Amino acid sequence: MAILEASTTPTVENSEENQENSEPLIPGLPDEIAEHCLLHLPYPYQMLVRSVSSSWNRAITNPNFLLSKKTLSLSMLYIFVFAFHKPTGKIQWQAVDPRSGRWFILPPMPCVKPVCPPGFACASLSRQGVLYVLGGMRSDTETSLQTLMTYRPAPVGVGEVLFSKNMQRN
Amino acid sequence: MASSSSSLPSPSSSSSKKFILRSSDGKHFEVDEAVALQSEMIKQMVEDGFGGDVIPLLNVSSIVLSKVIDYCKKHVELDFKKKMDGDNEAHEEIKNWDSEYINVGVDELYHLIMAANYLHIKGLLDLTCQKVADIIKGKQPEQIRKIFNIENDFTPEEEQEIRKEHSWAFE
Repeated sequence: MAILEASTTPTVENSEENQENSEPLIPGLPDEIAEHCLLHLPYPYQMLVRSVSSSWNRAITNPNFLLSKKTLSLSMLYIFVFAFHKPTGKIQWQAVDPRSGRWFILPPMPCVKPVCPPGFACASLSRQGVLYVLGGMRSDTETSLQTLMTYRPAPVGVGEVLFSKNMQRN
Repeated sequence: MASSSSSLPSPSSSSSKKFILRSSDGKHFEVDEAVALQSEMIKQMVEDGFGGDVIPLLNVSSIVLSKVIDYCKKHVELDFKKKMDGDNEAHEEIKNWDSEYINVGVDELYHLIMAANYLHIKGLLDLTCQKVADIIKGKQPEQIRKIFNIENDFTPEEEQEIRKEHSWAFE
């Protein structure tokens, strides 16, 4: 089993050098407390409010932010749905918040090879913010993908783990 | 100090012991020990020997302090009830009371957050921070900026870029 470098780089900027001049997260509240408030926001909602201001974007995408969330046990249950659009052949991860019934589109999964979505065997389980997606059928050669993709819907980083041949069933 | 003799009061005497809290604008509030000790900060002060005196709370105004005391009183009462009547009923009552209590404007909410943080009242801090999160939840960035008076320092292109990554699935 081998671990490869991720070929897609996350679009997150952890530019801490700008921190000094940055605007307060919420004027009237110390950043530390404002961040505590943002921690109480369920995950997909946090991602949606990144565009409020650059300081919000920075705070929410900071890896420490997600760590604090875990420490505070504020994580909540979500249902993840792996969807594909037959006409366009596009795949997409979506999440449902069972409490509000709202749907979220998640960032694209790093697919390094062209895949044929219907053949994508996606037995996935989520653990600590990571979804494991089993390789499916390649659309060009119609051979099975011997890969297990780890997909983090949260912008922490992405990686790919190769399956050794004898682990591949099908 | 006259009253420093009993730093650890027995359960039977705790209900009768009183504390006097002084707000930043000089008003005095007499509260039961159990109510005052909802604040970890006051608890620490008492353990350090401030118990018999007036406890000065330099960062909390009388308006905010009286609201904070309401919270502490209610929670002492409800905690007691929880012990007597069992969890479920009291849990529901706490939830309803809290949501009524926290139904305040943004300015008042900020004051309560700052007071809860200063006084180290975890329950109140969680309640108030959760309220801020609830206000944010489900709103568009533009509405959020307006409510919290936040300046949008993104260029339209940058904003578009971030929005593209995370958008509502169906709206």
